[in-house]
Amino acid sequence: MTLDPIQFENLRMELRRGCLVLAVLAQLRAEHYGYTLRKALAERGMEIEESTLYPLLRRLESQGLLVSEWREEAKRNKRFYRLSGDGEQILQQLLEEWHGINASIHRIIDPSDSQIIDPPDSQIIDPPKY
Amino acid sequence: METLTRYDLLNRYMQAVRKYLPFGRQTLRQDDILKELSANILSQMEDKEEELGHSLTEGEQAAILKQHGHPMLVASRYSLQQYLIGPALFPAYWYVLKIALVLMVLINGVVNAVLFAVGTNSMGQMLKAWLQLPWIAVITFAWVTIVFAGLEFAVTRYNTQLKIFDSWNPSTLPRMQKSGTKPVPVNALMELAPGVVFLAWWLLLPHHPWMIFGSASRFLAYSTETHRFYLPILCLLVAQLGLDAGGLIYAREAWQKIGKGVAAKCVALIMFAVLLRARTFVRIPDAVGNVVGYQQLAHVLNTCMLIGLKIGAAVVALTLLLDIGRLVWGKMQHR
Repeated sequence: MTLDPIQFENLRMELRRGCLVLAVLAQLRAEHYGYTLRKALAERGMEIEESTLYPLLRRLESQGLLVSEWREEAKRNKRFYRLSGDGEQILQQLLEEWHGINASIHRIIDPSDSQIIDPPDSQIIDPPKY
Repeated sequence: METLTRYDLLNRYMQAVRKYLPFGRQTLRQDDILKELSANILSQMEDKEEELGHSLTEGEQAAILKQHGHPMLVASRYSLQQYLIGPALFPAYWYVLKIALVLMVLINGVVNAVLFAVGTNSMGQMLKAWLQLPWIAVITFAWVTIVFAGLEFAVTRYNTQLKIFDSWNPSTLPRMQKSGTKPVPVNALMELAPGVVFLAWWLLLPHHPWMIFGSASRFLAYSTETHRFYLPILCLLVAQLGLDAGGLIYAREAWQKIGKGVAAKCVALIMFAVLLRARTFVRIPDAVGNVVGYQQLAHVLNTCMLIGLKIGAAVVALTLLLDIGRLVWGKMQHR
């Protein structure tokens, strides 16, 4: 079987999609405007396209997870975002979920780390054939 | 205002993005988006200037804008994500669409055959009506899609969850099929044999009248009316054979087999309708002469064939009704 690069790319994007929101919320515990937020995320290894990030910020704000304000900095008006009260709560819940998923994946990848006890052979029932 | 002239390309880019932005009537909202986008891109350009140690050339500005993406794409990301038919509704949509298309073909086929049989439509009108089937299929497809797209819009707009797949009961699932009931290929082919033989017989009839008249072919010939129904019947026989073959491959469940039977009987009814349009099937050729005994024989044969066809059509119609009844009853039992 040959590896399909497009298939891999689609799966990778799917995997990243949920993590992006988490990364953005976590990074916005400190205030940023769009460009510096993108730079800060990239410096930590989370590259996001501008055309994805900027609309995402607006969507998260409309959901009440972020708050923003226009402020002048370096002689130019910029829109600064930070996490709202609701956003902080959601971030905590999402982080717990993410840690749980991460731990599960580790247990699945490394069976020696698993807490699941395999049933004895006598209890194993062959699945029906279709 | 210095930046406006310095970054002329950026302004042109923003203008292009505005063209594709949603919220067409909310210019303030559009202005807000563009102001923010512009500030971000300007910061990026300034960073780049600092890195290069000179003002950006037009090519360097263009490279940054290209990295942001096509204006249409950038603008589209600000619109609400909306499926025409989303993944939650799609299975139901696909199921309804298939049923609607099959019903459309069946209803049109039967209605046209009945109109033809009762003499309202001519053969040409019937064929014309059948040729319109693809167009009717497109209209059916469009209506089903419009209805489901409307449903999808309502579900998204009012943020409700569809519960159409919640009210099901695992105990109503079809029973497991016994492994022995699956026909082996040889048996399956044997089921098609009668249809193939009949088709071959029908193909040979025009040039070998003895295959239907026997020794009487010396003084009997086909009537002129038989030439009109020969080709439609040939097409219907091929269709019936296709249905039989399709049924063998795809019909696994009992209800699917009944469904296949319903379709096959519909085709048979159409055949009877075509045949019943003819009043005479045999004639005495001119070469034989106007012998009274032969003429009477031809008349009796035509009458018998007509009565036989009417009885055959009535039997098929009756069994068709029974099949439909079994199909509906079976479906109700599964609920």
